[in-house]
Amino acid sequence: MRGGWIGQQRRRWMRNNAHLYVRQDAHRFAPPDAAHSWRAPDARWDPLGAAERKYSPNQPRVPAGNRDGGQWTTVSSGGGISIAVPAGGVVGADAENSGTFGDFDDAIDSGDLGGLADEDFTFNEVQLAGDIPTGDSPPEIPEERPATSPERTSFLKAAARRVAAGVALHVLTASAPWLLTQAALINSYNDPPKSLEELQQAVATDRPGTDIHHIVEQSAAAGYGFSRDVIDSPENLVRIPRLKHQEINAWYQKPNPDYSWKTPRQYLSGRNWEVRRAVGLEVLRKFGVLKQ
Amino acid sequence: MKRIDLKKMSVPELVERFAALCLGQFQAEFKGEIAKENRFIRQSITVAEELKSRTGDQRNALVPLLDHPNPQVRMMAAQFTLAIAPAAARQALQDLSDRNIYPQAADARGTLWALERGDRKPT
Repeated sequence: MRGGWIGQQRRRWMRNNAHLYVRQDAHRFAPPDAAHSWRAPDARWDPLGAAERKYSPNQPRVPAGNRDGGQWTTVSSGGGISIAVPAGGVVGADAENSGTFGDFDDAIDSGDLGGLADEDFTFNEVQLAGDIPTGDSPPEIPEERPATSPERTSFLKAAARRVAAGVALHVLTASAPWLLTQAALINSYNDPPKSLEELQQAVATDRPGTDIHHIVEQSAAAGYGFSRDVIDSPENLVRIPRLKHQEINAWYQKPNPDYSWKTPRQYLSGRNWEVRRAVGLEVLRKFGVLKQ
Repeated sequence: MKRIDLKKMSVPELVERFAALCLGQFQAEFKGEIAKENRFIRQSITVAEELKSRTGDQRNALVPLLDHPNPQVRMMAAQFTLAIAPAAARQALQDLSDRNIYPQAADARGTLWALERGDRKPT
């Protein structure tokens, strides 16, 4: 068993793309006198720069015996909050973009939500540094295909956004070959904005990585009493990238400051077709699907 | 479970909490957990309202977060500082829009357009 694992590791590190298996921040784990021999971090993946990072052996840790024993803990905050604050003083600026999120959910207290809270969390002994990506970089995409559909979707979204940020797809697939089977999703996400006519005409031709989208949301419109003929009319249908489709569907469900922190769905409830269509077209422009 | 009384928290503590909640939004968005993301959003609104209610409107304590490395923190900080630091907040939104990484780019763009149209009046 162990011999097999060692053999696998040897073969892996003999591959011509072995460098891709070295995590982007490997230099952080090198001994101080050897750090210079490690590749300097790519600014694209390390937007904070080495200067913003820190490792301090004196940073306090949660004492042994606790659930989170050994993890980084606060430099001080009192009052029930404890967040690891980096040397630069910005909350979370030290954190890694590890790609694996810890149980941050357990760290948030419900506070006073005016009746909106549906869970109680504790905010004590929170470790943010290293738990969640706090920087500008997307999380690392795993080499192996994630086991569950939600995980795959998350990392496909991350991959598509990386390509949007200028990373070549083949760079991503070299370290995460499973992405190759989903290249259509990633490529379509990065389609340039198109005219309304182009998006409408594309409905007739199926294309991998895309979906047919209703400009006026179909469920809400049907619930309000608009007929299927109107909802499914060619004027209301466009073909858009599937991952953008998911982002837009999510956008409709989240409190939005431009609608007095109502969700767009709440804002549109009871509104006429024209208002719904105007919002539907604008969100396509916001997400770079429809030309401005 | 311990519940937090925002009224008893200092301004720096509220700012820390605000940033942490925005990071929670960022995480939940990545994982596609909309309900969880919405809880974080609503909690961050509550924190911002608490800052606003403090003497002298302490939302200006959120202005440094316009330079936070995380885009969701910058986006939310901009939303709550538009009334007190409009130039800096608008610049942060413009930067997020130009960066073209979603969903923050879409949200920033939407706010900039709403401001231009006069649909959004920061208070």
